[in-house]
Amino acid sequence: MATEHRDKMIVVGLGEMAVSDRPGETLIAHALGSCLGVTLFDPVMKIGGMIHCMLPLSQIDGEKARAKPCAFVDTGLPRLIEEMFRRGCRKKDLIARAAGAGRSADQANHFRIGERNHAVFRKIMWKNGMFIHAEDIGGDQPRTLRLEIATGRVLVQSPGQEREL
Amino acid sequence: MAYNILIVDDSLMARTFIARALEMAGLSLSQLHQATNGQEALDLLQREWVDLVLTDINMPDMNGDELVRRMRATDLLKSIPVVIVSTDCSERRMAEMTAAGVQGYLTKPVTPEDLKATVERLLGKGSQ
Amino acid sequence: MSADNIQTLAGTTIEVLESYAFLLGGPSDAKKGPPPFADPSWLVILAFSGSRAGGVGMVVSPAMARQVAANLAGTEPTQVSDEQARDAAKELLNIVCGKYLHQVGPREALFDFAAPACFVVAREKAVQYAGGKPQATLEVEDHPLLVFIEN
Repeated sequence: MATEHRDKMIVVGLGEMAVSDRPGETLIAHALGSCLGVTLFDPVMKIGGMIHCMLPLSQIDGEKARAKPCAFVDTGLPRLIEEMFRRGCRKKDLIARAAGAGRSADQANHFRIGERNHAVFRKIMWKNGMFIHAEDIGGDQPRTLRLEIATGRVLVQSPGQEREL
Repeated sequence: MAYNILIVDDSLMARTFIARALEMAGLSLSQLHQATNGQEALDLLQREWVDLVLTDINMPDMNGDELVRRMRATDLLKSIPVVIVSTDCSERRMAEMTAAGVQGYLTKPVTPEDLKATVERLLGKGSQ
Repeated sequence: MSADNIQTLAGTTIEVLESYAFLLGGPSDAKKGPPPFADPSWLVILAFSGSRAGGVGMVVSPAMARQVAANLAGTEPTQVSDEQARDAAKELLNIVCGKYLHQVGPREALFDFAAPACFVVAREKAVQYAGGKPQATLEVEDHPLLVFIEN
């Protein structure tokens, strides 16, 4: 069960990331449709991070990528990883989970943004030699992603259900 | 306990990919061996202790079917678990290989998650 | 094989490029056309037999093949040998073919795959080889990729 009635909710909005080492906080990303939410948690340092990316590749909009690098998986995810390392986390301890990257309702998923977000995520994880512990990806339903800093628990909510990743 | 795994595939990049995926999966690995076909695999199995074989099916000189058959017919090798890692997704092929005595069947492209789940199912989590 | 299957082959190729080679691709721009094919290009073909006989192939640039190999190995294209790049291209087609045949069926079909072959050919000859066959041109992160069905 979510501890939101006690925890302070830190909302990770579109194109944002957050990192916390405060046990009383929960990071949360709402309405992940084709967007991708990624969590990294270090159970040794008790530090957790989350990013909420919208698009896969930054090359389509260099200006936006400079202004809001976390909007793109290829520029945002490495930033999250670097920040975790900067705070003392070790790669081998990081537990990575992801949710979202679903089908877009518009244009009958013509641009396959969700799938591409997922593909770039997997590429970066592969290139960094980082294992993906769990994913809740694809489909048509929007998701809410939560990371509880006190416990490292990751919860994914979609209409009618909630499960721990 | 750390494990010795043998990867059998005629594709250099397939072996490279699988080896990297196994390392990323955080499995307790002692040795990762590689062979390019069934015959090379059999030769290696005669001289090295191996806990698990991951093998493709279509290979020159000796394919995966024959490798499995020969392993099952050899006292020293018959209890080593074998997992197929193949591009062949057909249900018939999977059924054939299961009947031939393999313990798992993964279709390419495999992921580190697939490999971790399969190796831990067959060998346990091991320890460093 | 019917022309419908080329769409399946193209779609399967895009999915495999994403899930295996970590490359994003799609149909080439109908107005602009694809980037020009490399000269020489690599012609990769794979024949299958069994429930039915046939083959698939692709015309790929050495640079794209090198990128595929680098992505698989988690390294940079400059650190990849020609041998690794050729092998990566062959294995890519191998996986594409397996998934494609599973999609076009029938379900109970059983196939034997020959070893993929990779030839270095002049651009014109590569494109000429695929001429007249059901084919689709994709654009894969600034690289052209032509996939075709042998007839």
